[in-house]
Amino acid sequence: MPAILVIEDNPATAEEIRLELTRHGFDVQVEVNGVAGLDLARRPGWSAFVVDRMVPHLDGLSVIRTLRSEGISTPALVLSALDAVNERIDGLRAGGDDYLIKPFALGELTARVEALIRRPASGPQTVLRHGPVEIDLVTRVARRNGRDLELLGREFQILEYLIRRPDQVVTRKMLLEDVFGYRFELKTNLLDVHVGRLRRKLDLPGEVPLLATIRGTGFRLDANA
Amino acid sequence: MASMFAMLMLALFELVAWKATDLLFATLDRSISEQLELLAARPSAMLPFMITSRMNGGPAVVTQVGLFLPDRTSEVGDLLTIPPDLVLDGQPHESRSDDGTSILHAAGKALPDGRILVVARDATESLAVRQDFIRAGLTLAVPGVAFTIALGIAFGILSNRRLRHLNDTAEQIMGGALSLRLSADVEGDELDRLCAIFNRILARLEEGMAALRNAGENIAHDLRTPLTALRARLERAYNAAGDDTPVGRMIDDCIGNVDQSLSTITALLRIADLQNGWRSTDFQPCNLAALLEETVEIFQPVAEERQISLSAVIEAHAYVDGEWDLLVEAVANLVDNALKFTPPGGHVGVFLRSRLEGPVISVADSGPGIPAEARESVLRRFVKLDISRNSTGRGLGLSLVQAICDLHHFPIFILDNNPGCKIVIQCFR
Repeated sequence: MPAILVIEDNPATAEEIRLELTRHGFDVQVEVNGVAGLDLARRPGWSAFVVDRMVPHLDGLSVIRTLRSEGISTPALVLSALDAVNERIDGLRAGGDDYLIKPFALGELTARVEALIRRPASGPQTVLRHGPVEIDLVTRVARRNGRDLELLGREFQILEYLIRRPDQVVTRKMLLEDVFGYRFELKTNLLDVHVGRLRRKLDLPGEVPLLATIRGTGFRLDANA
Repeated sequence: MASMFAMLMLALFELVAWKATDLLFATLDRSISEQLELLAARPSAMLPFMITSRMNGGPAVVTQVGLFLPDRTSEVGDLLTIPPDLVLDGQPHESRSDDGTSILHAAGKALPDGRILVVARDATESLAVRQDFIRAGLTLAVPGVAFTIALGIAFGILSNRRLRHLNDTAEQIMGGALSLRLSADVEGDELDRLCAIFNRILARLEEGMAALRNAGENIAHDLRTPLTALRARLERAYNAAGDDTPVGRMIDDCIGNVDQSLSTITALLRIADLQNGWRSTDFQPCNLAALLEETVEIFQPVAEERQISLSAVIEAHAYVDGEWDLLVEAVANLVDNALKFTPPGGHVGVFLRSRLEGPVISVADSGPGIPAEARESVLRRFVKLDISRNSTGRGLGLSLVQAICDLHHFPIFILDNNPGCKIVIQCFR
């Protein structure tokens, strides 16, 4: 059971995070201040840290910075009530691996923690496979059971993003940020249109659907063909 | 400035020269008048003798005297004729000699017995002195003026360089580098004192901005922290109730409402952040053609779904200094808006053109457009952040676009596309 250390001073928020992550099979421990959190974080065995930026005694970014300087590279998700454009950059510079603005959907938090723990392998392989789906990163060709999917540029990128995170929930925000480079909200259904097109090519009528929609959260590429 | 100063100096010098020679003439005239009075006061019988003995007084005598009969013929004296235009009022007058070669200052007076007494003095030398003065002034003035001008230019270059430096610093401060200060010498000139005052204003401004930012951060924190717990609890309640129950659907609606108000707050805080917190000194060169082509590529499927033709017309390959993510956000919002307001069968065009002032981005649609009388108020509304909460939904997105353009100092215009709306961003390199 992966162990997660949550450093968050707001008791209600900390409790909700604990309940949510526990529900998804994580072993969660909560600490309310930075100094105690740092001490706890130094102990081995953690799979990930979830650190609020503004915690008493020692702020969240200092906690992460100290851990990194001590050679502890356990992935860290920074939670913040600050949404200024430069804040995210500061968070990542301090050694945070991902940055989530409060308030967030619990599904978003879980998906990001999962993504941190199961970070995609960025090895030298040029062909990625998941179930009946395979994509060739060199020829930019995607196939399902040998059938060429004839994907357009962004559709291919979305499938690549999903196949690198097999059976994981990928949130709409993650796709918008990482595939489109959009860190802002749009009123149109831009993402649904792109994913819809990918799905129509990936899951033909009569085939087992592989691209699942997780209501209110995002998408998941399944392998059960 | 320096040449004006030099001219003034020259004029002053000539004035002094003129006044000095004037004094010379006055002395000369006084001596003529005195001699005339002196001689006229003598008994008339003694006059010929006195004039003659005076003539024999030696070469030092420079005054000429003449005694003339009532018919103006010379009786005695070294002045042989009365200067033709001389008024016999006893006052000195300037007149030319008979042969016209010299200038005389002369005073004449009719004596009681009808004879005429005239005292004259050659003023040619005095005039020569005046001319010498003027010539000397000019001779001195040429190098003097040249020196003054050179000095002026040197000062000009120095103070220009200083002003340019001040200008550059001020530009950077306007760009958000509020911690910069103008260089001011403590014991310097007026400009230094002005800079020192300006620096004190800047310090106040910086404190104010920091306080404002802190307030913004506190608002953000105080709003978001309880909302995080609220939203999480609602989600948990929703999961417990199930999405197929009336309670579940109600909770889902609540989550939607929370998210809606939150995204408005987020956008407002972001606009405030763009207006106050960003430093334009962090800008990087951005390839506008690539930015527009990528945006059109991303929105193409959306346009196709809505049966709208979307195209990019790139007539220039231009770079501008800016923040890539923010410029992407601005253009994406404009295209997003244009697609939303264009009916099926319509067209949305994204253009990049080159103008003398810099590259111009425009997004044009064939939708209903914005009436001419409303355009200014729409723009004004951006500035005031008075977001319209009606169904159009243009307000917030365009407010962000406006804030991003302001940050980059790019003016934005709303024009008529006949039919439709055309939004133009004038960029500067």
